[in-house]
Amino acid sequence: MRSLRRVFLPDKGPIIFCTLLLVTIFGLLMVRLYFLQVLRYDEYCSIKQDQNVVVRKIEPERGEIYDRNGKELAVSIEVPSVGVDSNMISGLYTEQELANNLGIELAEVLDMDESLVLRRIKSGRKFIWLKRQVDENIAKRIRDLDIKGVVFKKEGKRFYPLGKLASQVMGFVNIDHEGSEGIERFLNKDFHGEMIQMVGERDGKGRFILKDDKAYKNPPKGNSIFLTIDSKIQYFVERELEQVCKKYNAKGGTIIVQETSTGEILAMANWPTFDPNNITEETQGFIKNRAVTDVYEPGSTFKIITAAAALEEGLVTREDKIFCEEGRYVFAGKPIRDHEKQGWLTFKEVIEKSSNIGVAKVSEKLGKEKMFSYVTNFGFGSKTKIQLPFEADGFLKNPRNWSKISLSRISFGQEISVTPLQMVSAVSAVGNRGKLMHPYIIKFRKDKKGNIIEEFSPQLRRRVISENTALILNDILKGVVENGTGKAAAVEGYAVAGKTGTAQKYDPEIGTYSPDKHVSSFVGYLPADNPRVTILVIVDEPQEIHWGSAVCAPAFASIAKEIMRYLNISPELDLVMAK
Amino acid sequence: MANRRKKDSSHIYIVYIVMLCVALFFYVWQRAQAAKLSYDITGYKSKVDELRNINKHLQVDIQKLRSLERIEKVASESLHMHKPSKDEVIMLPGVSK
Repeated sequence: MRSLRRVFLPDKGPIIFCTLLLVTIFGLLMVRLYFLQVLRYDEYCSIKQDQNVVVRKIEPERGEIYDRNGKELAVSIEVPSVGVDSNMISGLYTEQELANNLGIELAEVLDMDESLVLRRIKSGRKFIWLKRQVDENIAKRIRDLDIKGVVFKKEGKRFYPLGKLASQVMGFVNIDHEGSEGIERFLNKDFHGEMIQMVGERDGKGRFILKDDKAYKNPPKGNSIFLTIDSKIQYFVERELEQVCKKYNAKGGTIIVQETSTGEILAMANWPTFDPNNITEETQGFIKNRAVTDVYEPGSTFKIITAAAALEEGLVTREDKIFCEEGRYVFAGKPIRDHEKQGWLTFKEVIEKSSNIGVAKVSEKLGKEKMFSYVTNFGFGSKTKIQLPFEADGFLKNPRNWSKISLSRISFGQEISVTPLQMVSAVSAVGNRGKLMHPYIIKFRKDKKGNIIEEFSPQLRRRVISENTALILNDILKGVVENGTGKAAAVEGYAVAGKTGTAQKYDPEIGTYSPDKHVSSFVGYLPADNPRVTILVIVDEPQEIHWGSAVCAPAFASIAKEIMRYLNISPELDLVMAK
Repeated sequence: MANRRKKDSSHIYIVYIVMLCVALFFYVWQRAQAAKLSYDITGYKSKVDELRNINKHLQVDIQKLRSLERIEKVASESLHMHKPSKDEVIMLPGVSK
C-alpha cells in the first residue's frame, strides 16, 4: 500500500509511469530489431539487395581500325535505339488511339511501315525494339512526342568515316555489333573486349546511385588494330580501278599494291564496291574481298613462274633461240596459238612478246614434277595465311591427274586458278631477289590503353629462286615494258618490270574457253632494280578491248606514277637523262 | 548540496544526449550529402559520356571532310584545279630513297 502510494504519488507517479511505458516500448522495439537484424538478417539483406542494388552491364566499346598512318577507318559511337514496353503502352491508350495517333506518328518519324509499328506495339511483350541505331535527331523527335512506354537505349554503332574506302578489307559489323566480313570478322573477338558490371543502388525515386566507379575510370574496350594499308594509296587505287572498269564496261576488277621486299599490303581494292555505312540490297553482292576469296586463271602473267623455273634449272638462257611455229603449234593433238605469228625468238623475246608456243616448248623441257614443284613453291595452291577471312587455296591439280596438255597449258596460265594475292606475292618474290615473303595486312594490335600488344614484321616464307635467276628474270621483265607487250605500263623516270596477261574465261555452258569473255591483267614492280612496290591490276570481262596490255597496263602506269610521287621516290638519273 | 549535485549530473546527461543527437544528425547529413554527390557524379559522368560521344561524332565528321575523295572533288569542281600536263612537269633526277 505504501509502495503503491509512492508510485502514484502526485509528484513522481507520472514520471515513473512514463519511464516504464518508454522502457516497455523500447524493449519491444529492441526485440523486434533483434528479430529483424539478427535472426532474419540474411533474408532481409537479400530482399534489400534485390530491391536496391542495381548491376548495370557495361558493353565494351569496340576497338578501332586505323590505316598505317593512324587514320581512322572504323570507329564505334553510341547511338540511341528505340524500343517499346508494349504492356505499358497498350494499357495507356485505346485501340483507336494506337491506330490513329501513335502508330502513325511513330511510323512517320521512324520511317517505318505503320502496320509493323502497330504490330510491335500490340505484341504484348515487356520489351520489343521498334528501330535500332537511329539518328539522334530522330530520337529527339520521338522524345518530343512524349509517349509513355517508349524507351531509349544507347547502343554502339560502327562508323566508317572514309565510306567505301577499303570496305572489302575492313568488312562490316551486323546490328549486334559483331563482325560479319573482312577484318571485322577475322578479329571480332579481339575488337570486342570484355563486358564489365557497374554496381550501384536505386533510391526510392528509382534514381541510380553509383557505388563503384571502376567502370568509369577504366571503361571496357576492345583492342584496336593498325593495318598496313595506306589510305592514300588505297584511294589512288580505288579511283583508278573504278575508272578503268567503267571505261571498259567491265564486270569487275581487283588491284593489289604490295611492298615488294616485306610483303606488306599497301592497298587492296575490288570493284564494284560498297559503303559499309549503308549496305543496301543492291550492294550486298559486292561485300566479298575477291582479292583473297576468288580465283582466276592468270593467263600470260603466269609465264613469269615458268620462266623462273626454267632459268633456275638452267634449261634455258636469256639468249637461247626458240622457234615459235609461226603462231600455231599442235601439242598432244591440241593446237596452241599465239596472238601474233612469230618465228625464231630468243627466250627473252618469247616472254617480251608473250608467246604461248615458246613458253610451252620450254615447259616440255621442265617436265611435270619440276613445274609442279616450282608452282607450289611460289605459293600457288595453298593459302598465304594473310589475316583475312575466307581465303581461297586456288586450284592446282596434282601432276598425277594432269592430262597430256596440262603442262603446256599451265605454263601460260591455263588449267590453274590463283588468287590475286598469290599472284602479287609470287611476282614480289622475283622483285625481292628470289625471296618469297608472307603477305600481311595488320601492322600491329594495341590494347585499350594504347600499348602495342602484338607487332607483325616481315617474314620470309622461303627462297624460291636464286638471286642470280631473279636478276636475269628482272632483266627479261624490264624488256617486256621497254620492248614488249607491256609498253603502256612504262612510267617516266622509273624502270618498270612486269608482264601482261589476257586469259580467256572458261565457260561451263559451252564446256570450253569462251571466245568473248576475258580476264585482263598486268603485274609488275618498280623501280625495277630496287623495287619498292608490286602492283597487280586485274579487270574481269572488259568489253570491246580485252588485252591486258591495253586495259590494265595504262592503269598500272597511272597508279605507279602516283605512288612514286607519294612515296617520294626520286626518278632514276639515267632514265631522265635518256629522255 | 545533494540537489545541486543531482542538477549537475542531469546537465551532463542533457549534454551527452545533445552530443549524441548532433552526432546522429551529422551522420545522417553526411549520408545525405554522399548520396547527393553520388547523384551529381552520376549526372556529370553521363554528361561526360554524352560530350565524349558528341566529340566522336565530330571526329567522324572531320575524317569525312578530310577524305581524299571530297578534297579532290572540291579541288576540281569548286577550285577548278587540274593535274599538270606532261609539258608542265620537268623530271629532275635524284637519289632514290
